[in-house]
Amino acid sequence: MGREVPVGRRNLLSDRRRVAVSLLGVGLAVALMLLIQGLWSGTLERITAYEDNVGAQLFVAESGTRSFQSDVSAVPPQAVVQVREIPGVETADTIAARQLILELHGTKMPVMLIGSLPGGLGGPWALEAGRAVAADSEVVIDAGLADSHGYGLGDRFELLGAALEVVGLTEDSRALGNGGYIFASLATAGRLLGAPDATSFVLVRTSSPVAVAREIESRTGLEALTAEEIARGDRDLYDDTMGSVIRVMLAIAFAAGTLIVALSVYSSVVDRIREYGIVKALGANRRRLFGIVLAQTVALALAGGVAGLGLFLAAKAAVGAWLPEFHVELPGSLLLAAFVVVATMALVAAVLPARRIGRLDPASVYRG
Amino acid sequence: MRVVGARVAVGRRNLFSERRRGLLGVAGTAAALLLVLAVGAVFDGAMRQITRYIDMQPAQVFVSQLGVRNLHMASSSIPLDALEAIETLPGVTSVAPILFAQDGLETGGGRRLSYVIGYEPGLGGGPAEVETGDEPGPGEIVLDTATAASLGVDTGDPVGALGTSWSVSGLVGNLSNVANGAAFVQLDDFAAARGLPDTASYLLVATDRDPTSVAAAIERETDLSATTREAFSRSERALVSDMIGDVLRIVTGAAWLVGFAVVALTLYAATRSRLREIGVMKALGADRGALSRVVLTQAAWTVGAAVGVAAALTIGVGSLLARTSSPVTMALEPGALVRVAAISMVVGAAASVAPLVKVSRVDPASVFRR
Repeated sequence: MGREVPVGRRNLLSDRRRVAVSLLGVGLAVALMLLIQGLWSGTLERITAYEDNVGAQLFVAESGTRSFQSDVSAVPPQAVVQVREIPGVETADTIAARQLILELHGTKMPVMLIGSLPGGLGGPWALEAGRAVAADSEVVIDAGLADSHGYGLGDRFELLGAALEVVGLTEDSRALGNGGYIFASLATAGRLLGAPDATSFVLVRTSSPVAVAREIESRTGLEALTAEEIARGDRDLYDDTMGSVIRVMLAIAFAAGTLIVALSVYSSVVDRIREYGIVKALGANRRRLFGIVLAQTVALALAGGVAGLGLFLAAKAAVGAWLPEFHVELPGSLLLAAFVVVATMALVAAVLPARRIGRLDPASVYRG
Repeated sequence: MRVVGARVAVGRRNLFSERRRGLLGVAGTAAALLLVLAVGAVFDGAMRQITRYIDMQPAQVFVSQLGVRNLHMASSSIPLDALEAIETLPGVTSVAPILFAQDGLETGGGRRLSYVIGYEPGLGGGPAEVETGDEPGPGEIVLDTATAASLGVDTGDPVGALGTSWSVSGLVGNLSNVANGAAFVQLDDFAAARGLPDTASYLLVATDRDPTSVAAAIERETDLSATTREAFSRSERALVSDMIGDVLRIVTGAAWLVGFAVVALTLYAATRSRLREIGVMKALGADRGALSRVVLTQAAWTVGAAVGVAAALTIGVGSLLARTSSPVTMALEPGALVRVAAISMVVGAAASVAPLVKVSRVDPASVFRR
C-alpha cells in the first residue's frame, strides 16, 4: 500500500446518523460527569464563603477546632483583650457563630447565625441592599433566602422567638448544607443562643498571620487558624462525608459512559466485520487493526467529550437560571481531568472491539 | 402480522435471529439504565441511612426539649428529673436517657464529623449490636465500621472526641450517613467531658401501649416534646433532605435525563439498523400497525431484558460497595425499579417507532432494487 488509508475515520463517518447518535450518547454521559463534579466544586467553593470573604486573616478558636461550619467553639470573653495586645495584630473582634435550623414556610433549613460588634470585624461583606446591623433589634439576611421566602427590607424576621427588623440583604451565599448567613449584633446572638457572654471566635486582621498565629497560641493556649486553614478544614469535612456519595455517583457515570463508548464502537466494528476481515486478509497485522479501532474510539470519545462540554455549559446555564442557590464551577483543573477521563474511557472502551477483531479469522470473509 | 397463514413473532425472532445485534441493543440500554438505577439507589440509600440510628432503637417514643423534633444539628437539653416523671406514666415500660452531640472525631490519620451518643449500656439508646469488641466501658468509645475505616482505627486505638481521648472498645455496623459518622460512649463519660451533669439530650421511651397516645400523655404531663419513633424518623429525613437533598436530586434528575436519552438513542438506532427489513415487510403488505407492532415487540424485549440486567448490576455494585469501608450504601427500592421500567418502556416505544416515519415515505418497490 503506497499511501495509508484512514480506515477508522472512513468507517466512522460512513454512517453519519449513527455517529451522531453515538456522539450524543457519549456527550450526555460526559456532560453528566462534568455536572456532578461542577456542582460539587461549586458547593465546596461556596461553603467557605464566610472564611474567604469576611476580611480576617486569623480565626482564633477553642483548642482542637478545625472547622468554622461544624465545630462548636467557645473562647473566653477576655481572650480578645489578650489577642489585641500581641504585636502585629491590627484588629481583633469577637463573634458568636452557630448553625441553627430555621423553619420557614414548612421547610427546615440550616442557617449560620453570626453575631458581631456593629462596625467590627465579622459582619456582612457584600450587601445587595440596605445596610449592616447597627442596633440589637436588627438583622441582615441572605438575599437568596429573602427572595425564596418573601422577605424585604423593613420586614420582621422571626429568629429563635425574637422578631428582628431586616435592615440589609447580603449577596446570595447559600450552599449545600447552609441556607445562608444571618447577621445580628453580638449581644442579640448571645441572647438568642442562651449564652449572653458567649464568644465563638476572635477574628484577627494582620499582615503577618503565621507569626501572629504562633504568638496567639503560645500566649492564650487557644487555636489560631489562618482563614485558608479553617476553610480547608470545612472543605475536608464536607468532602469526607457528602463527597463520598458524589464520588460514587461520578464512578457510576464514568462506568456507564465507558460502556456507551465501547458499545458504540463495538457495534460499528461488528457491522463492518467483513471489511475488517478483508483488511486482515490483505496483510494488515493486529497492531494496524488495533490502531484502526483505537483511532475510531478515541475520535468518538473526544468528539463526544466536546459535545459533552457543550451540553454541560447548557446545563450549567439552566441550573444558574432556575436554581440560583446552586453554584456550578468548572475550574481549569476539572477541564484537564475531564480530558484525561474521556481519554481513559476511550482506551478502556477500545478493548472490547479490539479483542473481537484480534480473534477474527481472515479466511472467514471468503466463506460468504 | 399475517404473512403465510399463521402469525409470525417477527419482533422477537428479529431480535434473536441476530443475537449479537440484539445483545448490543440490550447492553446499550442496560448501560443507560444502570446509570439511572444505580444513581437513584445511591440517593435512596443515602436517605435511608440518615435515620439508621433512630430506626434501630427499640424505644417507640423520643422525648426532647420543647420544640425539638430532630437529632441532626439540634440542641436539646432535658433535666434528668423528667425521667422519673415519665417512668410513672401508664404504659411506659422503660426510659433511657441519652446525651447527643455532633463533633469531629480525631486521630493521627484524620478527622471525621460524627454523631457522638452517650448512653447507659444495657438500658437502651446504644447500637443494636457490637460486631467486633465490646460495648464502651469507662473511657472507651464504640465506632461504626465506616467511621473507623475512614479514620484508620481499630479496637484498642485512641480517638479524640468531645475534647478528650478515648480508646476504641468495639465496632458496630455501618451507621454513617452522608453527613456524619456514629460513635457511642458511656452516658457518665459524656456528661463529664461536656460538663453536663443531671442532663439528657433525649429520653427514649419504650411502651407496651399505643406510642401516639403515650407521646400525647408525656406532652400533657411535662414541658417537653414527645414524638413517636416513626414521626421522629420522618422529621429527620425531611430535614436532611431539605439540607442536602436538592443537590442529590439535581444529580439524580440529570442521570435520569441522560439515561433515558441514551435508551431512546439506542432503540432509535436499533430500528434504523433494520429499516431495510422493515421496508421488505411493508413491500410484502404489512400495514403501519403491523410494522409498529414488530418494532414495539422488539423494544419491549430489549427494555425488559435491559431492566433485568441493569437491576442485577445495581444490586451487584451495591453489595460490592457494602463490602468496602465506604459510608455510601445503595438501596434499590422496588418502586424505583417499577418506575424506571415503565418510563423505559414508554421512551423505548416512542424511540423505536420514530424511524418508521421514514419507511412510510419509501416506495415499497425500492427495497428490491439493490
